[in-house]
Amino acid sequence: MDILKIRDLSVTFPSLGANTRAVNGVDLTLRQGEVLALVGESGSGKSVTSLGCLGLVPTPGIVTGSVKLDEYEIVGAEDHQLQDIRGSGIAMIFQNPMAALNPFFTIASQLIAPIRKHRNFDYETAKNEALISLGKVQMPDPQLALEKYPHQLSGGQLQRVMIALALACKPRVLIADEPTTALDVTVQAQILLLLRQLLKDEKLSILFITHDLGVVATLADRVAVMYAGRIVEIGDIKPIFAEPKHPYTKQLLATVPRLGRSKDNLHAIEGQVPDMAAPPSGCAFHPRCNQCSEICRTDIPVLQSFDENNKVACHHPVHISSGGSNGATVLTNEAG
Amino acid sequence: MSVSNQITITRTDRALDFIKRHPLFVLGLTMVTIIVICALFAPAIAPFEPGKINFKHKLVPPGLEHYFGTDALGRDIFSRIIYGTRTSLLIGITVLAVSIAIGLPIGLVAGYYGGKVDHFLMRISDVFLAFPPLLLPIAITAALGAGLFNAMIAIAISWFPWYARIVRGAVMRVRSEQYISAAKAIGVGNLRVMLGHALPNSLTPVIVQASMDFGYTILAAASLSFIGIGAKPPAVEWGLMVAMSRSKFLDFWWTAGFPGLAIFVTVLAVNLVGDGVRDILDPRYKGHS
Repeated sequence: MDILKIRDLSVTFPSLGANTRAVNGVDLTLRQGEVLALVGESGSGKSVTSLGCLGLVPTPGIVTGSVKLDEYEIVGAEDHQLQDIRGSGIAMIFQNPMAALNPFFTIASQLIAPIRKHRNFDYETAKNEALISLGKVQMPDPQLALEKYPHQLSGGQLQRVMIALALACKPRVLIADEPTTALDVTVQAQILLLLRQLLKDEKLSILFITHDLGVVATLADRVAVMYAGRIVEIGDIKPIFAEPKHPYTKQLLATVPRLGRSKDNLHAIEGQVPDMAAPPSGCAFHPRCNQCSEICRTDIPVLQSFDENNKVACHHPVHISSGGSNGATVLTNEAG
Repeated sequence: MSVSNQITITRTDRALDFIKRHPLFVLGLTMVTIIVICALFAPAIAPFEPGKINFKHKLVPPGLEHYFGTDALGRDIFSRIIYGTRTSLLIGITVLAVSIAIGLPIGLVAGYYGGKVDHFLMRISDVFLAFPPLLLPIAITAALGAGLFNAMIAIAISWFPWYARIVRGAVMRVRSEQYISAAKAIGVGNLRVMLGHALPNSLTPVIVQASMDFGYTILAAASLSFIGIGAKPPAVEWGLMVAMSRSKFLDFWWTAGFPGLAIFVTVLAVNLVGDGVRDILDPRYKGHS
């Protein structure tokens, strides 16, 4: 069942010179109970897409298209209507847990207030619920944690608080915007394990935004690759990791450093993410693409089905016959 | 002596360390405390009634009976200065309270919503900033009628745009913090985000600015009294005392000298505290005072 439907979502930031189109006609569908990873470089529009799902695109951004939670249209909805959706319909975990809690207030006051609002509990019930929530995210000594201020907790503990906060309002969709980027690798692993555990226990669907392909491999069911505000490839995780169809996906997978490979072989994609105020003509990836031909410079490729599970937006999708990169084969092992 | 005793930090040690690190702040705070005590216990401290006229003792130089001498009407200057602390503190508190009461909501709304709301509110406050600092209060007092209360309102009206600007700047900085987005993402309403999250995190610069402006407001009120549109006799006000002794102070220096000194000391004390508050609250200024 489809729970969150994003159709032709575009976000434009007007400015004096040229308008910056951060998100450009994105179509995404999040199914009940799945983890959909949204992958891309910095500046590819992943975070703006996620903000669009909550109606939180900062002014003066202009949002067009449609985002539907079940049948409820989020784009263009009034702020006070959205306040009911935010938290209880769609909740979000942010990139940097150290900055996502107000330094002025205790964990208790920041955790209990939203629970009371969204679930109409009195203070005591809400506090109990907060404790249960903190227990679910395996917070050591939840009672003590409630009395602390954000600066008295570690990054990993704060991210647990954020997840507890998001879960306590019983959302149907969880958007995780690079939730492990600011954390140590060991803590990262713990948080990912926790998310996987929660996914089993709670009825959740997660839109997981990241640039970390290792994280994608451990957690996601499907993956959508974003480049310059567009989805360039989307599909089930194993086929994409094994045989990426889009040259960008292929190169992105090849950038992941691995043990056992010579240090000289560290792969980088040549060039930079295009300036979205002046995007290249045709396929936005063509200046960096090694398969580029004449049509790539003029025509924008549309996202079309490659096989039953995968869609790709490329004039020259990488065929199996051209041979998967050695990088992809190693990654398949990790993913499996 | 045991080892644990050697590393114990007592309260006295901590106090001494604080004084060592902020000597000027402690000095200013001591002076302000003395001024506040003078204001609270003026009748007990002052040897004479501040308004009592005694022509037999007019223009007596400072001595054992009249510590700071007497003025042309024989009033004891020391007693008048003690009572004058009440007026000065009243001015400082009232002007700051009124300026902040007007400026803070304007800055909060302008900074939080930005865009057209911001432009509209800020252009209104810019009108008040367009005049030279003391000219606007003079004009407003002249229009409202001379008097200490009107002078205070006038200073507050010319002063609130600074608070609006400070709050706006602080709120704009806080607005882009992630905990504001996070609060919105969990479904917190605008009013609550503004008052509960944006405001408390924007107050530090306001506190710093207020503690530094306190002295300025006393000075401004004294200036208005000096040119005759502030406090009126029989009010006891330092600027007024200086004004009244204008014709005599070349021969009788104490008539203007001591009230002037009182203004100087008070403004200095409050500014020292203001600087100290800035240093203590803002880590960026540590070490430069």
